[in-house]
Amino acid sequence: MKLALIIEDNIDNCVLITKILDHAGYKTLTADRGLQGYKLALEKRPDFILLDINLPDISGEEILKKIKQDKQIKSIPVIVITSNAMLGDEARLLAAGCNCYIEKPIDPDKIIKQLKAVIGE
Amino acid sequence: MSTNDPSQTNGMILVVDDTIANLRLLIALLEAAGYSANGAADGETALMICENKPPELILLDVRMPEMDGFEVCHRLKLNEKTRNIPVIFISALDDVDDKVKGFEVGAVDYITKPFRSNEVLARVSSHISLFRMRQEIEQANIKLRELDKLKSLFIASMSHELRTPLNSIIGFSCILLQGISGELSPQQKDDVQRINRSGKHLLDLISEVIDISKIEAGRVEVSPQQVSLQELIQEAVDNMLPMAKEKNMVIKIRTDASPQIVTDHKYLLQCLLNLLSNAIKYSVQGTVQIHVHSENDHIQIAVEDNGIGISEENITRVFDAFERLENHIKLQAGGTGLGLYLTKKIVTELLQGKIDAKSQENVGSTFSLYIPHTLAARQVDTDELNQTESSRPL
Repeated sequence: MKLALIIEDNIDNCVLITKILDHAGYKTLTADRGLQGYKLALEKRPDFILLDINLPDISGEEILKKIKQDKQIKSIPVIVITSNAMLGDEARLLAAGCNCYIEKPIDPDKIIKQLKAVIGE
Repeated sequence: MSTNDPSQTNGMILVVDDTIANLRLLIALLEAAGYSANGAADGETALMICENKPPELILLDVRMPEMDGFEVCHRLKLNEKTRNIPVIFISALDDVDDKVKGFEVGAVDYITKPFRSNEVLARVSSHISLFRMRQEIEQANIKLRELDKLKSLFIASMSHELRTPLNSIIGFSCILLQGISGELSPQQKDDVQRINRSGKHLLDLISEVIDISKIEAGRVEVSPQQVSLQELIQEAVDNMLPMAKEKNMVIKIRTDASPQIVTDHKYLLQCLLNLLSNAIKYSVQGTVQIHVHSENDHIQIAVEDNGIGISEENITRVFDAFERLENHIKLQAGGTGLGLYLTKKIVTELLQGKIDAKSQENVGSTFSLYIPHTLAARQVDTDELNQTESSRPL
């Protein structure tokens, strides 16, 4: 069973994603702060990370860069979740190393398909 | 020569005349009427005074050695700082051509010598009050524009806040529908479907309000790039195929040109998607056709349907906000009422183009986009936008 790390501060969204992944047969781990998420990634080495772009402590983009610049965990696929589809965001996030980019509202079917493609299932 | 404090007087006036006797006469006349008056005996001095301490009105002699009154006036109008000061010519010349020339170089009035004192004072008083009113209106306008921008920014940030709980409503109703939290009865499924559909409708509305208010606040960045029109149209059609298939409709592309243009890919695509989705929504069946024509400096992209059409009296209102017409099919179509309003804003304010609509009831409608071959890059201030974006907790 693959392990997912969800870094998301909004409790409802976190529950939503957890339920979807749980139903699709993944184990989940959650963090509601960016740095806490980064530490968990180092400790637990999840198979993939779902990262919200707006976090209260450090922006998701910074966390993404931290993960992708850390030799130990940079190979873990990161799927960025955002509701602010701003021009240039996608390009910037891809440049920072994000493996996939998902816009809210989350569609259960779509998110599973997208993450399966990213983790090669 | 000024004796009074200008703020205590009826207004500050500059008199320009190379004949000192005339200068004294006019200044005395104005001061007696409660104005504060300055004098200049030549054009250069007059320009200098205006630059340093702009008066509220200038009485300007036409015939002067070196620089004549017309030239002085012309130069005043070229300078941002002095261009709005009203100029009244005073001259012995009463040739009609001279009067016309006076107005051409930007004067507001013309008095011929010999003049009558009460005429001069009457004209001066009326032009000073006009000048003051104009300044008040300009100030008020600047303030209104600022307030309007603030309003738009407020709406944009508030709409973002609205989206967060809405994502939960849509997301959770979605997992209920998919049975992730257990099987639903057909009746429950129908109920949840209504919640989900309304949530999506509300999200569409909010997204459009955000787009509109961002454009109104001048906070949208366009990025002109090489765009293959053929690929862009294909992308739009591919997007719309599922919706068309549901209604058994066909989308045909007819182009006599497939140019490369320089425009903003994202926003042109958004406009085209909107027109296509309208064409499908407001038709019962049939074909939607996309025509492309290339003209000298622009391309025309026309989206033609054979749907319900729009009556002549309503066609002028289709680009207004919330103008869905009371009609069965339209009500079923479930648009937000902001689609065409937003599309027109994008086309005219971001893509520097035009949009129009032709229609006949029960025959069909054609919406045309006229997009320049090359979209000029535009400098926008994105700092504030980024601030409001990043200060928003989600």
